[in-house]
Amino acid sequence: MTNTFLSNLGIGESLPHQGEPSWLAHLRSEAASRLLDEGLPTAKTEAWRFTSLRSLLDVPFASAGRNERNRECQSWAEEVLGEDDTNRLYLVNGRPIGFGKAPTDIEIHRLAQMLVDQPEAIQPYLARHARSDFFGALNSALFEDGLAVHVHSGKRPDKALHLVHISDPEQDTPTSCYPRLLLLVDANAEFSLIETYLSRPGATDLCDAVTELIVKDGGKLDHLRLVLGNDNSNHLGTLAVHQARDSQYTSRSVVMGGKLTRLEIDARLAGPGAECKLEGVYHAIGKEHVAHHTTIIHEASNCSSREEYRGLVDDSAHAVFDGIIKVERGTTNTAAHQQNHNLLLSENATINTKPHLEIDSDDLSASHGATVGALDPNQLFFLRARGIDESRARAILTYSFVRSILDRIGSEPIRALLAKRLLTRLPNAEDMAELAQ
Amino acid sequence: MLTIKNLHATADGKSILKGINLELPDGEVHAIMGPNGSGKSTLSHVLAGRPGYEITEGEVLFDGLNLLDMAPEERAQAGVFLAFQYPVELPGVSNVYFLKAALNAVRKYRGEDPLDAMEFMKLAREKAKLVELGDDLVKRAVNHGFSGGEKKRNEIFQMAMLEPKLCILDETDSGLDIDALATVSKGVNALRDAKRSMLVITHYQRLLDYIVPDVVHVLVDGKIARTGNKELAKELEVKGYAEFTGRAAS
Ligand SMILES: Nc1ncnc2c1ncn2[C@@H]1O[C@H](COP(=O)(O)OP(=O)(O)OP(=O)(O)O)[C@@H](O)[C@H]1O
Ligand SMILES: [Mg+2]
Repeated sequence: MTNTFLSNLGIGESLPHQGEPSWLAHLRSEAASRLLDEGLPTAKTEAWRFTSLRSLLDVPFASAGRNERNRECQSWAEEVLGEDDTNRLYLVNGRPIGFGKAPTDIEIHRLAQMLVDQPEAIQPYLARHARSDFFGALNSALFEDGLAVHVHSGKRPDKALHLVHISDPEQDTPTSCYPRLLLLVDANAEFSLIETYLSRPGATDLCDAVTELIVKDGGKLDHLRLVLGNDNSNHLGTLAVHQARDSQYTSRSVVMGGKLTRLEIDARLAGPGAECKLEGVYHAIGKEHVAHHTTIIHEASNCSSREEYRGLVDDSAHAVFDGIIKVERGTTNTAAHQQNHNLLLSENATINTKPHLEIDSDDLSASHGATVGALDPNQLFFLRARGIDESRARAILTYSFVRSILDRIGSEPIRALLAKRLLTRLPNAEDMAELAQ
Repeated sequence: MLTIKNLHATADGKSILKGINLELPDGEVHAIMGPNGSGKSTLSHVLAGRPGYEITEGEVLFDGLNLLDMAPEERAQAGVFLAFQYPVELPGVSNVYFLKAALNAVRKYRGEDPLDAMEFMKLAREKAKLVELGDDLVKRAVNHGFSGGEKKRNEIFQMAMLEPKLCILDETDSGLDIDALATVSKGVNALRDAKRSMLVITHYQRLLDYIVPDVVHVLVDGKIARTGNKELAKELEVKGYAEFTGRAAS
């Protein structure tokens, strides 16, 4: 079974990535053998206990080739996203489709080109930090293109770089794609990155994305990652950030739509004084499955990490939060705080939450906590007693459960877009946009 | 305005209201007093439609409408307003949004056009003045982090905005300092009018010095034990409820 899945994707064949350096060929074949040896994760694998891949196994995915629909995809995405105040770059099935006006202070390269022209510039970083678990390894074995972005030291581009990923499956052939981003934020640079993953309607699609972020001494990176999928889309995201001394990283993950979404987020606080914030909002309806697996490793002293995920789970949807913070031996003056709060909106919805700390140090302040609750009947009655319909009262309370995190998103148009999307996904709340103001 | 006939209600199998009869004509203010646990808040909840109570007997007519058949939001739209004994905090929901949604729901029921942002803010400023609620409180999340007194003022502010026909005030005076009591009472009095009736639940005569009632009812063990004029409240202040409960005042 597993091997059919893998061989459909082209694992096990000799890999046709011509002109690539030998270290990469080696990396790819290593990843491929690991996949063949270990196979697909099953419910017996602890980290996959709550996420079943069964729905993907029988699907004969074909890697997305180049198609003639780039322009169409871009206009479709423009329609979906509306306008915002960012510097956008569109990618279809993981391939950049034109660079537009090049922002100053940063270099943006096609990954495929970079691997031919200056492989030595990315060799120290590529696949060094991302997990090589199943989907990480699958991407390493199969990715064809993506982006390599370098923010030069001390630079502070004023606009966010917005990478708009569009999965564009064929109408009748289930399609997979392997976007990959390598971003280097050099010393004392400040940068804002947005990754949006959209899926066009079509056959089943599988987007296996790997994002590797390196933030050097004193660098600051603000990262927003949006998964706005549909009933046929599956998103497996691997995200790794490596933080040097005094660097600051904020990750906000918003998942609103997609049959299966699983994000693996790893942050490594490798230099003293680093600060890491991981935040997220997920809204799962219908039969959607959303899982966040986060790992923060405190390797150095004087580092702080703060984590807060808030979820809304309705219908017969299923959400998973599995977060771990490790504080290594010998580190001092650490702050590590982790929270996961969930609103269970239906009796048939399921939430598995597992926040935990693994601490091998006694000089720290640490906390973790998780809650799963229903809408508060007192609040509901209070709203209704003021004349507000029950369905609206529910929408107001549901939205307000996650808004503290959404409100921290810097870009106003993107905040509005997400509020609108969330309200459209709540029953009878489409016209409640003012709620978000 | 309001007619309560032989109202019986239970919660979790416990019988709380045991046959209440009350007639509240247009424009009148009736005070309801009574010992702790006698059912005053329960009566206010049942009138406002809070889930969790079972009405086992009786009926309630509000301007000819069968109140007990209506959803809480319909009652509010039709003009019933309950100022909560314990106002609820709504973190993440701004007072402005909340009130605008409420006001426009009520206006819709009345067949009036929704107010736009400008008109709404103008009205809100005017009404906030009535209870001296600061601009910052108007804009903050509903009751979130408000002091006890601020929450109560916010209730009366909402009442002033929604202009209900029937105002039910459940211990609006509790938690208010002496000055705030005067301010809030002034706000309530400003809303008194020939077409608006009020049920004022309180433990203290002091509130009734400000909001002078036409009638005072004493609720004991789920029934109205006595009805009188405002002098009855003064008498209770001196004698307590011993006469009704069979227990001596301490
Ligand atoms: N949901 C419920 N289940 C069981 N008992 C309840 C419930 N709600 C109220 N009661 C009981 O009913 C009685 C009346 O309560 P209520 O809150 O109406 O009293 P009250 O007159 O408002 O008292 P206070 O003056 O202290 O505010 C109390 O004994 C209370 O414990
Ligand atoms: Mg009470």
